[in-house]
Amino acid sequence: MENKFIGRKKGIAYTISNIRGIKWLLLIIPLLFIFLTMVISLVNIFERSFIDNNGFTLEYFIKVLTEPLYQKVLFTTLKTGVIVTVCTVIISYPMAFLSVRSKNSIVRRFVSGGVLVPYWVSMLVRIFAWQIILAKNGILNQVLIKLNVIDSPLEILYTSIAVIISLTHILLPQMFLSMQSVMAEIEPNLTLAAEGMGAKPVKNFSTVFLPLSVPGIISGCMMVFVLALGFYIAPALLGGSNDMMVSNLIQQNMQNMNWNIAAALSVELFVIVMVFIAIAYKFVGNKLFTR
Amino acid sequence: MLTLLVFVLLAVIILPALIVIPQSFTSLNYFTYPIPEFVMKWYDKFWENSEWVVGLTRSLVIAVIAAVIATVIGTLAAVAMQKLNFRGKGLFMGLMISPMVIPVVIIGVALYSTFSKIGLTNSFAGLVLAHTLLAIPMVFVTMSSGLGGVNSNLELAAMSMGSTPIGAFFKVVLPTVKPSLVSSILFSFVTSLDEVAASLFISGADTKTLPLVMWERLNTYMDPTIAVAATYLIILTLGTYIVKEIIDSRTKKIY
Amino acid sequence: MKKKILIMITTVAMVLAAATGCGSNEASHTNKLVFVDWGGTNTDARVSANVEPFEDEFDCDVTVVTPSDYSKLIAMVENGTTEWDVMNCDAYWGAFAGANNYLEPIDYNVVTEKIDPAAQLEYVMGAEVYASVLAYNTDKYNADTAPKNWADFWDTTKYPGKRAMWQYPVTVLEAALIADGVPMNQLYPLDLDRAFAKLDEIKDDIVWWTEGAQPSQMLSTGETDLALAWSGRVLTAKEEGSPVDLTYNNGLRIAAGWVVPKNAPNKDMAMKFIEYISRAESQAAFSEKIPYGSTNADATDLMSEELKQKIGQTDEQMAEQIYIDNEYWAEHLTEVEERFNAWLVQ
Repeated sequence: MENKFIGRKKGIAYTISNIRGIKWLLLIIPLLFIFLTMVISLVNIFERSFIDNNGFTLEYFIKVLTEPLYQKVLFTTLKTGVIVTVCTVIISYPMAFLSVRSKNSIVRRFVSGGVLVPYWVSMLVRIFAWQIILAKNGILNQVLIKLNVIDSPLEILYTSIAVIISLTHILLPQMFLSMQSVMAEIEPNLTLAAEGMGAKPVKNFSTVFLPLSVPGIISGCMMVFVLALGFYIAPALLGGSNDMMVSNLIQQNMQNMNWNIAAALSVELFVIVMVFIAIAYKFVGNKLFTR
Repeated sequence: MLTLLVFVLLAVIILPALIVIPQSFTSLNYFTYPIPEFVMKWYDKFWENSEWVVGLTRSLVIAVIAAVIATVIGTLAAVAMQKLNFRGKGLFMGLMISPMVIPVVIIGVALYSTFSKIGLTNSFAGLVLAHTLLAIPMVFVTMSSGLGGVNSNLELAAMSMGSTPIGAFFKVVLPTVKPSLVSSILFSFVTSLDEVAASLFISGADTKTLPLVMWERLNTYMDPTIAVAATYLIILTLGTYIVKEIIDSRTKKIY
Repeated sequence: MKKKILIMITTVAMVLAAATGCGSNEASHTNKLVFVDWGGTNTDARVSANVEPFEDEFDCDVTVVTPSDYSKLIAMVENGTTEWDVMNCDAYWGAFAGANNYLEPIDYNVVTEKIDPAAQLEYVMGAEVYASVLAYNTDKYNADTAPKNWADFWDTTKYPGKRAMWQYPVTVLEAALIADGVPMNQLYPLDLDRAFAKLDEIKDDIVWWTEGAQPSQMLSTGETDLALAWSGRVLTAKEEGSPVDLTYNNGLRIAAGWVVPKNAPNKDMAMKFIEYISRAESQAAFSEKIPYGSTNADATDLMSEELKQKIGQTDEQMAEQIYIDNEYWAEHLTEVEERFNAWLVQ
């Protein structure tokens, strides 16, 4: 039964892989999908960043790049992205490590499953959860006051701290899974061998395990940083007036029929991220995603 | 020591997600602790309003389909990046991750302009396509880093023993990247399940997803029914996860 | 439990049917209308108070779409693929979008009812009214001890603690000017410098909200004791049992109304719908269901004294409030919002 199955699969696979040029489908299918759904219509919108009713103009880019409002909001957005990325790395790393290296299989499973629990809860609901926890009369303040740690409630909700906490919480699983999938493939024998040759566990970790896990960290950082830049619902609901994000401004400008500014802001964000990725690509080369 | 630290971190991560569950039993009509009295009225309200039930079901169906398609397309792209030699690899990579880089609002408008011309707005297919598009970058990034770890000598070995490249891929590569594959499916599933900004443009009267129902409530009047929806979502998805774990551990025993 | 399972199964079947495209609604009426509203409790009220009777009277199938989305309406018109016939929006936005050529002018040959001139505009007909009002937590204050007007709202020594405000210039700048002593009938054109200077005084004491359901939640949980909030949302929360209340004194009334997107497929039907919704009976029926005011003066006569009191439409209450100037906002929204944002992130 099983042989027959494999035989048939091989047969089909064999026929298919013998069609000339079939491998280019790998490239063509994703390209077609992205082009047909997104690229064609994006051109129209991006175009508006430099073309308005009077023809070509750099007015909108100049405005977006020079006015303090737009500069400030861009800076906040990038800053938030960096802080959130760093936080997720610090929290995820020990967890991902334990999830692949713990000697106890129950611990391994528990960690990998546990990190994903919040992932299943809708983002909007988690925003509410953070409001319940961080509010003036929220759980955190109630507990801290009971324990006599503080006398008067801490002000966390509606500040940047709440934004960073919630975004870190939202994006943690991306970082964790990126790290874990790479760490899982590091040969346990490698570190064992090093240990056998007398390397101390700590040194062993820093010379063998850590370098091998770097690709996971990098791909995780890429995802988290880029995704963090796009969030605006959480900052709007949990942050203060200082936590306005570029996407917020894009949304507002679209409602106000200022599509040129919205387009210019999008192009700006797009270019910044692409430049960031290109630089990363240049430094790590093909190792950006691979090793 | 490390285990202790991780378990503390884990508690800090899990609790905020679960804190909404008791709120679904609150007798108040807003979210706060302590809860004065536990009642079931929000559950009745949830089932009375078809919008919630329909939205939840619809979201789950869309998320499953979008996750599968996105994983297939994203994986194809990652394999292409890895195995094919062609000019403009950087450009290709840029394209594949661009749906993640461009603000979702803009993607929503862009998709709307294309979809409305071919009748895909207010359609199930339109939402699936939009969610697929938004999930592709995550699959691409995850699978690329996963595929990077595959030892190509093994693949060559399989091929020298008579496997076709595709056969070698299924026999050697796929099993090694299973963790990345699982992550990819999870990422795309949740991306779809949480999507608001682009769905606002694509959905219509008959295609409202759960996050959109929540979004409306947030703008008008919101009561703990939203916590009921969250509770069901947690039970459903965690249930699936636990079942999968059990099946996994069973199959491992057989081998 | 069995019932729930049954519902679940039917739903899955429905969704799958929709996915494969075999389920379709049977049309029972000859005319068609695509109606867009904000969703939630507001739409529930509107459907039973207005949409269903309209369907019968005008032999029309109404498709209810939610939520209203300004960007989407613009995208439709730009694309030449308008699917919506009539959408609910704030009147100032309607005036703004109309001036930018995204809307059909209201056909006042069809819509002939007497509507408050402040709400009856070229491109939008205001139907229901809410106000940006001073709302408070009733555990902390009662009607006597609560602040009475925007000047009190600004008084942080007498009323300490954070106050919540709408993160949007509309009505917030008006409130600041009133607090600074500008008479309510001389607000427009807004003295922006003066308004921002007044806002500076309490900037550190403000918590900003962006979504309509937020202020009731903030007040209920004691996050803030005071708020500038929308009357309709606060009253709904109050009726459901939240410890919140409001005063109409210094209320800034905003008309929400109906617009017809450019090239709407059922434009004539849309005008008929707007006519229907401008009638006194329609508006009164809506106010009965959900605490919003009306723009048709005759609608007020159909209401009980108690209801008038609740929605702030007794003569005394009306004398304490003012309609915002939709034309001012239509003209200046972009620049003022930009300045407001710049002030926020300063």
